[in-house]
Amino acid sequence: MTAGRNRGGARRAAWLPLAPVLTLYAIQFVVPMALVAVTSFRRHESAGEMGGFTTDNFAKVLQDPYYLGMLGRSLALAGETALLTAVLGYPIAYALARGPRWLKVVLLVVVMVPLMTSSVVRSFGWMVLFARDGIFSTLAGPLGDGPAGLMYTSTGVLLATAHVLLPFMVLTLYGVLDRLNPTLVQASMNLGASRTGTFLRITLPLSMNGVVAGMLLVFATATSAFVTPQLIGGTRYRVAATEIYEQSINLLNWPLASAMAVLLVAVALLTMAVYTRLSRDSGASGATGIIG
Amino acid sequence: MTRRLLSWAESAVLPVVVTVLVAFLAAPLVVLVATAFTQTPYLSFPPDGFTLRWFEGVLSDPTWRAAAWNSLIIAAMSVGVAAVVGAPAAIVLARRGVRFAPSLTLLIMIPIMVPSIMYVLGLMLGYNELDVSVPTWGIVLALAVLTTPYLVRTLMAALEQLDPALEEAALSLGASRLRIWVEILLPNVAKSFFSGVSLAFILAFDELVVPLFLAGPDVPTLPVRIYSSVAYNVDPSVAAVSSLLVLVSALVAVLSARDNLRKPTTRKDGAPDGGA
Amino acid sequence: MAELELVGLSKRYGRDLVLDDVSLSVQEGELVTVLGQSGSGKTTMLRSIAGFVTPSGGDVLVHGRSVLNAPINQRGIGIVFQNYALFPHLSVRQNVGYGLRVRRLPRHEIRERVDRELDRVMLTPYADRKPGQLSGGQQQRVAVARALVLRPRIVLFDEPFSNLDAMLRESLRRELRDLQKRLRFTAMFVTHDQREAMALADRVAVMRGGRLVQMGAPTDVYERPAHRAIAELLGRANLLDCEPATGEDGRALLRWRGHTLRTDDDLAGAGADPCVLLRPEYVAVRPGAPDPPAPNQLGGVLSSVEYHGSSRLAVITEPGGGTLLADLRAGPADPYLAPGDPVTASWPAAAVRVIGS
Repeated sequence: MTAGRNRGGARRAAWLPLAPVLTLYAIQFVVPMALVAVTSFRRHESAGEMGGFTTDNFAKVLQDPYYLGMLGRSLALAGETALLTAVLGYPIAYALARGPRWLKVVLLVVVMVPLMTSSVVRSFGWMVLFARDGIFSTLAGPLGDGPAGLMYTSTGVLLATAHVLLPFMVLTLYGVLDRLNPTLVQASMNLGASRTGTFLRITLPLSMNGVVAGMLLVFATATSAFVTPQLIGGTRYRVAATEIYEQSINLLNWPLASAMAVLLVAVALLTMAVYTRLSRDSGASGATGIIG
Repeated sequence: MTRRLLSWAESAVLPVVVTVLVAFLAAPLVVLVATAFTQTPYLSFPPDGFTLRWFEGVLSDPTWRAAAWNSLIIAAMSVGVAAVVGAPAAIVLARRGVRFAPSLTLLIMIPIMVPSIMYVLGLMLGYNELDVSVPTWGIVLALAVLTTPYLVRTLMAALEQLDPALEEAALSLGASRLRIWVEILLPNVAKSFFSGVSLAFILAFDELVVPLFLAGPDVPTLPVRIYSSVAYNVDPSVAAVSSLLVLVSALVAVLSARDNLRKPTTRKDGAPDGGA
Repeated sequence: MAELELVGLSKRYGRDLVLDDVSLSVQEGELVTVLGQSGSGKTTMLRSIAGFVTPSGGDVLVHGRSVLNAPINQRGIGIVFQNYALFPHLSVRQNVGYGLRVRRLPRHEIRERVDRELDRVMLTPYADRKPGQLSGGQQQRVAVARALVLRPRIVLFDEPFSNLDAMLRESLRRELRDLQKRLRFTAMFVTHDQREAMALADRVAVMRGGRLVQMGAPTDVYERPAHRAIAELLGRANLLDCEPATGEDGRALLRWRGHTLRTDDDLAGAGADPCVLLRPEYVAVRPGAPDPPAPNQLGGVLSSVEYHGSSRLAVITEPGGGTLLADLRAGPADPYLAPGDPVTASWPAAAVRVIGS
């Protein structure tokens, strides 16, 4: 666009503005990640002491039913959360995209407030609701969870995690639904389809990419959810992220914590790679695009 | 919006479903606010009586105030760092001023795709290896990594939406590059940049995992302090602090929702967006 | 000396040659329109002159001096952009005054000149509005005022009317033409609208495939296109592929589908398969079959009539299946000319233009 664009010197100087961010990332992000990767292959001698290199940590995590169950629980939680947020998020996003102005304002506020409130605070709110004598437990009693309440249960963690991640799903879906060409709906009805038929044949299929993108985003984030499982699940319902905290902070078994972290990141990155590809194809900007 | 026939699904079921979902989203926050007014010395919902003493207690408690102050300072500093390193990068990348700009953009986004627990664990191991306790700026830098992607993304989006002809017009009118940035480009992205900064600040302020792993009990941020209170000795004053935070979020959300919906979403006939 | 001169200007993007050895000169106070379809290189040419594109070869001279090494912001060439590129955060007054402020003129002088310019384009009542609060035509005027307030010697227009509706275009076109004659700046105006190109221009430059294919006064280019593609670009045209023949009187003539065409043009250089341009407005139509067959006329059937208000476009099909377009002159409509009627089309020899094929 500018005259100097093709000059070699100008090209090289153009990298200069990227130097600060790359330096920050190198020191604060790449080095720590590498350190975790290396540590995951060290031998755990005693609390806070590490020996030579070994693959025992991965063997332990992937073979010991206790740790394997932890990983499995994380993945199950992530999958269930993704499904639940999709089911709960779609109607909200639909109303947000198609509803009258006042409803948009109300819904946007209702979605944004939790998004901007610390997940510690939100999980705390659920703790109050889930407490043994909280109203939610009384309400949920007939559903089979009994009067013991939802604290320290998988259902409780699932509900609270879904609450934490629901705004991301809603915003992703809203982005797709809002951009859907309204004349498609008009065309479909003009051709004789009912509103419900139009929704099932036109709107839903066209927004499916957004649903999948939103689910992947939620899945990737939920695999490493820490705060909610820690507070709601406690010691009785432990997932990979909370176990990493336990191993590294309390038991000082850094190699084991590192190995779990590596596996967790592998799952998350894989999911995000699919998500990035999908959102690029479908034009879904994703929650990070909307709130960003 | 044009008048239209509603199907039964939209007219009857959707409002009910949406109302239930709104209640679900609001429930934990509403409960916290309500609980904060209870007269009982323990959490009770529905609240038992009405008192402001938990709010008074929290606002005059030096440890809560110190935690809030720590959070404010640390979040502000980390967003400052993120802005300083992120803005030049965003400008260059939005202009496709370097080769591989799309890949570099993706690279800068990676910290929000990777579970933060991994690199925070790595930072902890690193400081441990160096045998030093984590300084405050260590937390600041770690949070800066977390917030930089959001800032870069917001600023890039704003810059990419600007009509490139604006810059060319200013050039043809004789303005220098510096002048164009100061007078033409920055004023037109300032609003988006500000909202990016606000979002980054909120994220940094709310972040628990980073300070929980890195900071000892001596520099607790507000989320850390809330976390330990909730986990170990919960009383209505935690609910009071939480309510205050919910109140702040609600204010910001209302402001940004109004702003979001006022913005025209489409540009007609290629005319530049209204400056109003 | 020419005000603006392009010498062998070329621009290559990778393997694409988007501007191919373009040379032309624009005289002082002249308005040259550059006509071409999208991809013809016209915009690249304009942007090379402005400095937004660095040419791969050739030179741009202003008053005989190369400006290629002059920074964009010091070329002193005004530009009016296609989407106006008004600064959205500045008022109309601030937009117009921007170039003057950049030049650090005294405040009262800026005010004076901006006021005069706003008055000239009839925008004084809108001076304190933001561009977003103006209509398309008003924004267009602001863009013109913003460029002209600096009194540039040369002003470039990049399809400035393309986002406006037809009526508005026509009146703005006249305004611009008046302004340009009054202020006597040199202008280059890029467009893909052939009516606009001809209505505005002192001379039209026709671009095709990155090359300048013809340049001349609108009548020259319209009447004597150098190429059949140019003939079509400039308006409706009958392009007849003829074969050369010799008449009984020994004079050279042309044959098209068995019909005889006489021309005033010299047929010496026309080659083996000359192409004839016959503009529809030169074709006269009367009812009935031709009485005695003669050159420059043919009998056929009126196959359709398209009503255009001020004129009607007739399609005449001759017995061999060839078609000829003819403008039926305005006036009380001939009641007896309806599709299916036999008609005779005729034209003067001066209207038969032989062009390279």
